[in-house]
Amino acid sequence: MPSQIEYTAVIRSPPDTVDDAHDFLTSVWGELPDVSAADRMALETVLSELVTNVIQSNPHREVQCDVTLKVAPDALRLETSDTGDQVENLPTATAEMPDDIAEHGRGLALIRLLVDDLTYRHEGSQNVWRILRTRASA
Amino acid sequence: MTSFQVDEVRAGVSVIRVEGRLNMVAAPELRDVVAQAVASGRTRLVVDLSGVEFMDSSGLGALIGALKTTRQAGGDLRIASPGEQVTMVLQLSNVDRILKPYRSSDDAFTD
Repeated sequence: MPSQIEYTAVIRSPPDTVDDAHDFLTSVWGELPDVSAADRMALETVLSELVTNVIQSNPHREVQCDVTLKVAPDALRLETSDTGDQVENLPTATAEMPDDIAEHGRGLALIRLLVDDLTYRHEGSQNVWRILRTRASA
Repeated sequence: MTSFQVDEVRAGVSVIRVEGRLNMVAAPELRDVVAQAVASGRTRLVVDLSGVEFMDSSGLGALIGALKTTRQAGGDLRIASPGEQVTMVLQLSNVDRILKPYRSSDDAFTD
């Protein structure tokens, strides 16, 4: 058994949507029956939020988002690298939810609650988000 | 593909049964379905989430927008039967404080 398995997908929007990113993870889980339901739900939620942010932040142009999932016995690492506008006004490091009746602004807070580490870097001309989630069953 | 089915289950209460994912793709459709229901006089709505395999913050935003739409028309919106992932997202986001999940759509307007 290799210590780490890597899976990749390329999302080009349009025409791809957040559903294509989700379908990628669903197909990966099919090959990895030992990933717990909690870890699957967390990663699906995190990726959906990340890709939604990329698409919504670049509404009037094509954007490419490369997705990499690295599965190790003790951790899941997800990376997205996108060609969208550089992310500015990064929210603070806390995981604060907006007001109860707000209709936006929960995505990044949800991500923070589901991962053990989250980093953002602008590398080259790409926005790179990396998350680490320690596996429950490690 | 996410689908929406609206049924008037008893006088004044309609159930919107959602099947599929409630994400950035489907959330605007839910907002539209609710807006149309309210426009046609159906202001007491239950969103049955039992068929929703996945929801993210876009889905949460649509539910809250739908809640406001019904209340502005003098009605209300309740949610019922969320699965495991949907329950996780409702709890982490604290949205379950304003949209309390009912066990079934039959229970949602009994109080």
